[in-house]
Amino acid sequence: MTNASSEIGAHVMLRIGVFTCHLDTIIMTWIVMALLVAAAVIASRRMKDVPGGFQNMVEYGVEALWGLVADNVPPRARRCFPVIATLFLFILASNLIGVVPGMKSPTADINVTLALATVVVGLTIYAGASVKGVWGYLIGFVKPNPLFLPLNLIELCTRAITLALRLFGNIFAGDVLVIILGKLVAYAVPTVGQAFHVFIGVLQAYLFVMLSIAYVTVAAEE
Amino acid sequence: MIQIDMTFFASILNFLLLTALLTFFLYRPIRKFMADRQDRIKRSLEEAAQSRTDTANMKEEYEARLAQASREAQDIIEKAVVQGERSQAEILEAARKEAKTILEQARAEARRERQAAFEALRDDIVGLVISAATAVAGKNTDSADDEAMVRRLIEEGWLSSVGEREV
Repeated sequence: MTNASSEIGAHVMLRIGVFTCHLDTIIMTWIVMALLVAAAVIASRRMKDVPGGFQNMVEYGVEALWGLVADNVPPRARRCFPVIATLFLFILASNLIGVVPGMKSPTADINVTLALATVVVGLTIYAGASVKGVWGYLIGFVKPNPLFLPLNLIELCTRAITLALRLFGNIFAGDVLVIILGKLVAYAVPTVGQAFHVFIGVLQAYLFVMLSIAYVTVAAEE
Repeated sequence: MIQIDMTFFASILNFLLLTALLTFFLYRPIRKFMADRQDRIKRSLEEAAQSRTDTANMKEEYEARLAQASREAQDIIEKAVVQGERSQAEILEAARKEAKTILEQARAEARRERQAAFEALRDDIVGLVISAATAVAGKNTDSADDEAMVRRLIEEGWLSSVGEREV
């Protein structure tokens, strides 16, 4: 294990043979997962017919996400909903946890955002293939003529890359901004930076999910 | 420094695991709970609507029954009035007949009694006349012929005037 955290954007590396991974990112991801699962267990325990504050918020959130998915991907809403809802919750929690001093956003790591974008591409392919059939979906890559095959494949990859880089760039920049402001000014200004980071975090989570839904919708169109 | 390594695959696995956990702990229970609650509310609303319809139907039925009962009561009253009037007429007629019968019987009785009294009076008169005649003639006239004669006289003369006066 090597520590390169003195450099901004550097990670604690874990080496297993020839493979390496970012231990800090993995740990932060697990923390975010643990928080989300704990919140889920608390939210779904002892639910009442007349919801209170927290239950009300959770119900509203789940219902809003379901409405978003059901409105845009009606044929495969039941299958796509868990992935899209988890994308939103995970990205939101990952973005916001970076505001807490000593914590680092998992989404400030390109590996994580690229993994999430890959999941979105997988979901897009699943939605397209399940609605049009595998052959029907693959045929779509050579339309309007076979010359467009490379362009269509590049477009698919580009979508994943743009999703990943947009999220990574914004959150990483936010984290860097908070660190730099904290080092430059001791009072007030870092708080403003953190508030801006919260705003960016929410906005990016929403943007990522909306773009994902749009890609899945386009792929699932008859 | 941007570096793609095993974190990428670990993140995919973590995400899929998180999706499974949240599906199990959050989405499924919450959506099931909300669907059940919606069903319960829908059922309650349907039951309330059904109750309202039933109540309206029962009200209509009761009102119809009440109107029917009112009509039947009116019919019964009218029939009773007609029956009462008929009974009254019959009773009056029977009473009139009975009174007439009683009156006729009373008249017949009176006539019989008067006849009996008259006969008794006549016997007394016959006796008195014979007694008077005996006293005047100084001899006993107490024979059957005398009595028959007196009786005939009375019947033909004195009695007829008395009878006309009395009847």
